Amino acid sequence: MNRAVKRLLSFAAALFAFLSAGCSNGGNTVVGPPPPPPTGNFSNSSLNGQYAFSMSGTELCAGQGSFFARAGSFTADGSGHITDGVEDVNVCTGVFTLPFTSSTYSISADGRGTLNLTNSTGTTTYSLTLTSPTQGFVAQTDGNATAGGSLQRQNPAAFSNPAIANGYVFDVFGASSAANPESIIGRFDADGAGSISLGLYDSNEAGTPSGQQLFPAGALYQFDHTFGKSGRGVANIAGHNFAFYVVDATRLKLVGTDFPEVFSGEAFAQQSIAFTAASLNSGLAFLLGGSSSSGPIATAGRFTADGVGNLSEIFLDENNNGTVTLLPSQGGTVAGTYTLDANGLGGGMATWTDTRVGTFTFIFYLISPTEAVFQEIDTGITSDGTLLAQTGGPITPASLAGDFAFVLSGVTQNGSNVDSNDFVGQLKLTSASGNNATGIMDFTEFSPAHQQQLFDIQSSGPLDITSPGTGPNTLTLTTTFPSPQTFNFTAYAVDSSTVFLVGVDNNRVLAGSIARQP
Amino acid sequence: MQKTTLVRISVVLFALLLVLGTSVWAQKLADRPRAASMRSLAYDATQETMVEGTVLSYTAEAATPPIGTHVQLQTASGTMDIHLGTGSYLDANHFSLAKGDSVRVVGASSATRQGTIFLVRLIQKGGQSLALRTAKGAPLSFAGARTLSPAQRAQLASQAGPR
Repeated sequence: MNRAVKRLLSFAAALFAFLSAGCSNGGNTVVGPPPPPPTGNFSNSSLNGQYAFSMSGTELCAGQGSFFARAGSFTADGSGHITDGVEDVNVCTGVFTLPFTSSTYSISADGRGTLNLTNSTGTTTYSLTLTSPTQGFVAQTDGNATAGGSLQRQNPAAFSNPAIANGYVFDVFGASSAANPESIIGRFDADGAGSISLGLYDSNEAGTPSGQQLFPAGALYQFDHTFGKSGRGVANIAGHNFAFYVVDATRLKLVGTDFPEVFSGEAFAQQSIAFTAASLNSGLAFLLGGSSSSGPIATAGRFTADGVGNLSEIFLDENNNGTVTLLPSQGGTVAGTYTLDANGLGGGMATWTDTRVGTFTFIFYLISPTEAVFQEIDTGITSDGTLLAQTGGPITPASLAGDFAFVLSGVTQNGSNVDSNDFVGQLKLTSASGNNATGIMDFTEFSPAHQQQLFDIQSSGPLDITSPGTGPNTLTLTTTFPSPQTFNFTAYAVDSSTVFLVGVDNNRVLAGSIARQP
Repeated sequence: MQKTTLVRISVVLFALLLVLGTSVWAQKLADRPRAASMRSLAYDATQETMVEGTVLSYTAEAATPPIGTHVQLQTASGTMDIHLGTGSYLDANHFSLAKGDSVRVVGASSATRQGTIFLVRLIQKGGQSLALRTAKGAPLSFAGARTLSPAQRAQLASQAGPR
């Protein structure tokens, strides 16, 4: 399971490689050297039923890159055909609800595959990697845009107002009507009949926090009559209009339908308990992505909460548009505290100070004692993501050995271009020392002057685990095709099945995660 | 009592309940900081200044962070490293810079480990000016294109679908 955000690798074998410079949809297409035959138990029959998806990324708009979002649902027949579906897209020309016509997909044995979704405006093509038949990661790889996200199998039994009841925690990120990056996290109660109450949220627009706010009047949710069979509905949350797609009663995918603002995110059923400081009593890892005053920012880390308001063993890796900050800093020490809101509704705040770097402040809303949405509110930083309890330690190379799906999003300084990137692929980890990680991936390099899709790009390198494995570990992946590149990551393990990654190179900002395949 | 009077009383009572309800909830709102810590590379709009100078060098490929376009600007008080964000945003807005250009910039300085960098919100060269950041200091390269005029959007929509 992975709820991480939302920016690697190869043998040369140039003799066998081919580089096709044709135009699939937009830009150039590059295909890596033929990889070894994929192994595993996935096939077209692995994608069978209704799936909800959501993603966000960068589109080309009047010669400029611009944030956009999409969410939707499709029905796969288990034989390579998409038989039904619909999506909502919020792009720079407006907001559109677009039904799919006949579409296709293919899944290979390793869970990697291709998805082609056709609507009245054309076909969008995605690369995907399944973590199981019920979920996976997805990236748009057709050159028209770049975007990354996830998909989950839907439970149609939850496609009704009564199924959506009780507490939900939500997290959406996007752009405000003033073109500022904005994160909104919070919680609300759904009554099972379309009404919302006890709505609370914290917004952060361009690094300016709102403070906790009540939902303005007008909050609601309602399944729609036209696309209700896709699990689609509409909602007003924290004063903003959304289309939602139900995964099941515990999870909704959200895409903003107001314009020119745009938001993408999810809502999760909240455990029905009175949250207190004692609710946080474990090690927790976090992954955040967003935008700062200077550009994209990605942050990962971990801390231990003691159940009474104190934080210890605080580690953090932040990449602020190429400027990498590590906590504890060299020669510095870090201490922190946290508080839970007195109303017991799961909101709270965590803050820590590094004696050399300064203070970091975050808002969270607990989904349960082991899971929360997490938002940084330091000046100039708009960033949000996931906070998950670290379980099942110690983390060792042996416990991590196996196959993983991964997704990464971010930007890379590519010559004079700053490309937006979305990567999706598979990573194989072994317990060997040295080169114990090998990967294969598809990704997009996307900027106004440069659009290129790369497929089957292979990588390898070491994943070094520092005992007990719950702190910062390092993953280095090197590609040789189409050009040599080295990607340096800090890896924070949530457990032996999920690891957060943050890129620590000065020329790129990447964040993502790996999730175990069966 | 007349029916209209009853209705008025009901409306007043309902409004009172709403106000009381909101008030009760307002008391339950958690105390949050409205301004958190100032971090490295944060844009402090309260510290905005205008600077004039001559371009000594321009590069869209940063040798040092932050990623993006950097200009070495010779000013009356010395040389400054100014950050313009992504070069493609300048290109899309037909704004070019070259050694020797005289420019005026509005922005805010920010201290980093690599030194002080000037984050530019507005840049002017001759009669051409361009906003690079929002009033809050966020790069317009993130979503500035979403503020196109309706006519521009319609033209774009006619050229390509919402893919």
